[in-house]
Amino acid sequence: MSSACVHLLASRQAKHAGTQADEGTLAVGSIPRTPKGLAPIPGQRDADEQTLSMIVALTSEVTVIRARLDTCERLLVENGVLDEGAIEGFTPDAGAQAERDLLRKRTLEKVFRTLQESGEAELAARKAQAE
Amino acid sequence: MSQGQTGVASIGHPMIAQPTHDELSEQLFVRDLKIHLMTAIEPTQRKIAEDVAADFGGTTSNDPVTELRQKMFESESFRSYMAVKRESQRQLWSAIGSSVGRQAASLTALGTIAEPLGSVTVDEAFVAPHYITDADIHLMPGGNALDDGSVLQGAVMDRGGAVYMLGRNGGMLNDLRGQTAMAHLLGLYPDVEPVRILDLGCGVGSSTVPAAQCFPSAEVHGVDVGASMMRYAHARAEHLGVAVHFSQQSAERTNFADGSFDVVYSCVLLHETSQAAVGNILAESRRLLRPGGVAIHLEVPLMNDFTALWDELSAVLESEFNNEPYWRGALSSDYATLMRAAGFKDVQVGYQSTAVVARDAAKVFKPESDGVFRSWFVTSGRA
Repeated sequence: MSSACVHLLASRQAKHAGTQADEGTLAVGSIPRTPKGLAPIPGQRDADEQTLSMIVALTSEVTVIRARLDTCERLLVENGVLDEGAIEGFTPDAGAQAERDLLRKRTLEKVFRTLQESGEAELAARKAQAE
Repeated sequence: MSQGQTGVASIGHPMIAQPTHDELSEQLFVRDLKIHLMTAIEPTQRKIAEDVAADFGGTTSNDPVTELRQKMFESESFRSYMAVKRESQRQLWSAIGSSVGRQAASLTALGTIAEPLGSVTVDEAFVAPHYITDADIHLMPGGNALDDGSVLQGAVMDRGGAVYMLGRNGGMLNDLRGQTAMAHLLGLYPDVEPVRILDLGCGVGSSTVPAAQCFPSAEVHGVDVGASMMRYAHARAEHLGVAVHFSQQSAERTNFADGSFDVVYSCVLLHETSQAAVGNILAESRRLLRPGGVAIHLEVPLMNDFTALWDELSAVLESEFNNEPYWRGALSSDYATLMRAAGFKDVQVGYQSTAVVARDAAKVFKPESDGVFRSWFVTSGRA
């Protein structure tokens, strides 16, 4: 499965590169990204608005990745690389499970880093005050 | 809407920007985020607003909408809802912009028409009106008047518009408003056999093409403020196999001769302009008509017809946060009076049921709205 996925990834990259070579980035002009006229939302902190915007963008990315994975799985089944239900029925062995657990731990640490940092900072401040 | 008509409406056209696998996922995400906001988030905000309005006696206040707006912005969940709603619109243009940018070369090639049926005329000296340049309408970066010498901004507007309408306006053709305007003409003015037709504020021509399809022997023109938009509209119409003459002009004052059209119409143009411009556009549509000719102006449902304060607040917020410059004014105008003041006779004001194909449509025109997208506000009159 992994070699098939690598192959798909490689062909995607090749296709993407080909697309870029064929099309150029922006032949004539460039499409702007920031609209003129963004009225402030009354009472909304900029930081909160930015955070929400980032979450929306990340959610978009997750759905795109999920759709691509879905396509990948369906093509693998369709082309006989995987049996139907092979993914659902897959149980990682001990080594694979340990690697996965590590990946999950890293993700959690990465995403919730600021939460950890702010708690630690508060605790440190309390200790400093007590001393 | 029958299955067959849905199928026809979703066919699209060769000029529309084609997404890759991932770009389509990205665009569907925006569509579904908007649906989610409308169906899962907004109803709760509406209930909160009803509650808030009941508290301050919304019906007795002098300006209940402004009061409700102020109170709602005190709520954190409402502010977050507004922020995500606006972000959904920004994500729309961002996703479409990337996809169109990737296809710059192929779209430019498609935009070059060897033997055109119609034409496109751009005016390098054209200065867009302030309501176009003050803020980018619908938050589309660069705005309607952007011109980089290409067809790309038109391609962004077309694909973005189709995704924004969530398939409620004729899929990738996005043409139901034009079909509905033509259904109004056929239904109320069956004696008119148009030789020349003009679409004011035609955008990418999605409402102009239906006129050419409905009246194949008529000479059809469309005007709007953006050169990129006009080039794209031209290419789009050519790929759909109809002859339309597009030119970059202001709908407030065109270079066409007095009395030179049988039908002059506009689709959702007025709320993107200003109070002064609406007067000028109605007057211009009158000036351009031959005696007995017909003007038709189609809009979204008027505010007087909104039954709930929340709907009125939503309209105000659209104007403020989605840059709809004259939304509130255009939607609370007395069009019967305005049309008569512009010199029209036999003025009609009401709601035209949405038509999928003008000639096949039921052609229902009545005083009350069937709701957004199911019918459109229309005012019309004879010169």
